[in-house]
Amino acid sequence: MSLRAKLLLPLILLCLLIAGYLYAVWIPRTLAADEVAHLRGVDRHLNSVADTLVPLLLGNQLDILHGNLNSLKQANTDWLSIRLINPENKLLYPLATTPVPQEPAALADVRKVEKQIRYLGEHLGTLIIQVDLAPSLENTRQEIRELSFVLLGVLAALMLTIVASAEIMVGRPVRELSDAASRLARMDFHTPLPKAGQDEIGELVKSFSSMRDDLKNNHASLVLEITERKEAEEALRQLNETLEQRVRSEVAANRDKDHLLIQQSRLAAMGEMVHNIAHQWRQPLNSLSLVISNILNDFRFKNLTQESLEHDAASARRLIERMSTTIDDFRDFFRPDREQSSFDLATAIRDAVFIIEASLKSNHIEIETDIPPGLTVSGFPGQYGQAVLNLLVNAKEAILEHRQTGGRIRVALVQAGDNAVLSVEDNGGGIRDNILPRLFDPYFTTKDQGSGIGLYMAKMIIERNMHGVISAVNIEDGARFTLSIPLEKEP
Amino acid sequence: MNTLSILQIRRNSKRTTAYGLMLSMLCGLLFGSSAVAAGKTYTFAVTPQFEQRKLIAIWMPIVAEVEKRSGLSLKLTSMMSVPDFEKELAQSTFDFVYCNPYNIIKSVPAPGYIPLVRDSSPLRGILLVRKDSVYTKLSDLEGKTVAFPSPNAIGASLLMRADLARLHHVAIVPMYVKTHSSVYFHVVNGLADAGGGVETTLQEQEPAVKDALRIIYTTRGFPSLPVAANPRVPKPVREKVRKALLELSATPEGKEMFARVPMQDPVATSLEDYAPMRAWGLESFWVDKY
Repeated sequence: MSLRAKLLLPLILLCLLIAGYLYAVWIPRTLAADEVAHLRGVDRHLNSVADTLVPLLLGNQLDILHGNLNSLKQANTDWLSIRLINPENKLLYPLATTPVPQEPAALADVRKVEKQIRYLGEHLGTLIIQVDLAPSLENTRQEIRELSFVLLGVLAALMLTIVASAEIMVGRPVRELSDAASRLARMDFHTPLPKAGQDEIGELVKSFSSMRDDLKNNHASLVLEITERKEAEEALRQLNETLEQRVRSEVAANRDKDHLLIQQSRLAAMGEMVHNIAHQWRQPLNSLSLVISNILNDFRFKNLTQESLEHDAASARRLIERMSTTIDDFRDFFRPDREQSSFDLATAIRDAVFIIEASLKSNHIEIETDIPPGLTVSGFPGQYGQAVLNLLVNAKEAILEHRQTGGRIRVALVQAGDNAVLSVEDNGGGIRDNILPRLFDPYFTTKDQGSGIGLYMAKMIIERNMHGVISAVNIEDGARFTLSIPLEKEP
Repeated sequence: MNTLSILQIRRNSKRTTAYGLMLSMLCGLLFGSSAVAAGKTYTFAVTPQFEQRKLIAIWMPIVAEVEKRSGLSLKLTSMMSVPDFEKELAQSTFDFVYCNPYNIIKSVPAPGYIPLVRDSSPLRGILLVRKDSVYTKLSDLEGKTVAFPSPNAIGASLLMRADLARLHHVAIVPMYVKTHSSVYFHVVNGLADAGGGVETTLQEQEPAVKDALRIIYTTRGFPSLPVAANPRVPKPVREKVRKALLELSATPEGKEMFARVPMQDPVATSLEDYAPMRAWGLESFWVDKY
């Protein structure tokens, strides 16, 4: 419901109440009072008429009586009829030939008034008047109508004034504010606002103006933010558009890096292999050198015999075969796995220990193994041995950096639930706490000659290729590396 | 002539009558025209055969015209009832009168009134009943109430009662209602079984009255009511009035005025025209006091 309707409704109700009071109470009461006053006047008039009729009735002067009453009727146009009857109920006036007047009931505003005419106690006749109150009541009604019109006119003017005032003081400013609010909703901050007065609407206008300014500032900030976001989205879009290419580039780069890592790993393994071969060959080469020295000494001192020569040749041949076997062992260990297979972990671990065993021995590092057979897993045995070898090399280097003597490495394989857990412990002084989180990162090393590849390769092999877990913790005077691999499920 | 605008209606009492005469004479003196300022103002009395307002309406123009034509100063007057009028008449109060012919005869020889003008047609008394009345003949009225203007109205009452009693032997109960019109109203409204009147006054009634009545008896004719002069009025004055009346009646306006008297054809008259009525023996029916 509009404000105008809300204002008009009580005023209309007030008008209806006033109109209801006027028409239900005041007008009937006024008309009744007017009727009573009029009839009272008629009664007074009839008293005078009765007085004048007394001598005429006493003298039977019916013609004068008729003349008087005719004049009376002409003078009183609201007297519809005058009848005079004698005590014997005979008509004295008007003429008997005159049409009988209408009964008062036939006309709404006609009243019947009777006046007894008496003289010295004698009843001379009865005057019966039919009075039409319509002219008198019509005057009153006309006055009532005029008064009602004036009153309703005043009320209408009052309503018009109130509505116009409400329209000017409230309706129009509110509509302008509403319009401004609509335009504000469309981010139009330049809509003129109504003039702020000293009333409540003025306060509303001021509040609205303040709100508009705040919205304007917030909108500017929002626009800026949106612009930035759009720029970011555009950049992201462009990034997304180039992402595939970049991914390809990154993948290629990673592939290159992996390739490089693999190459570096191979080189490192190659160096380790050469280093270990050198350690393996050192003893047979020394022995072979002694055999040769024995032959030369036997020849120089003429002790060379066919038997001694064949004995030394046979010794030399055995040494060379031994060295050849070493080469084959190393070649087999580092031969890449072609496909996944089921293998015994103990075999793979012992092969790794064999590869490094000579090197450890030459460095006076004791290795202790507890490698029970029978724990079979599915995977790549060569890669697994490579990972174990890397842990052993890492332990050896830690020991060599940390101490001159008493180096010790312990390798143990146990079954823990559905997993085969291999631990490699050393007493190489352990790992600094700040290094532990980055221990398996590629190219991370604390050694002067380290490549930072060994532990990374071990993590890749165990976790990515064999679905296992690799971890490292410090223990007393050293570190422990653990490889946990799920056992092959029995068929 | 302005004096005619002042009319004095005499009351029943002697006192009011005297006051009325004095007042009318005083008014005549005060408001009389310059032409007659030095002369006498004569009273012109009319018998109250009609209701006063009607009476004045009929006679005022006539008297005014006579005054103008004669150069005399006349004062129109009347009385509230015929008895009062006859009483004043008997005392010779008025100078000129329009009255019952029997008053002329009855007062002769002394002092008497001298008839000047009358209608050429004779008057006849009539007896009326309502048109729807069951009474068709005089004998039906035996013992019934019959209205009359007054006991001595010549045609309507005096001659009629004499005829009923002596010629037709019908005893009625008279009811005197002052005027001819009152008689007719009484009959029409059934307040009287019959009523006595004269033809001329009946014709003056409204159709509603006239048409509601039926005549069941008519008396013999007699000279109509005259305008008469008191013998004390000088003959030249009497003649002036007669001349003025006749001259006026000769004019269309005058005819119209006299028709309402009613007097259709005014002619000069004398006492001889009324002398035969003395032989009708009406004295026994005359009522002095009623």
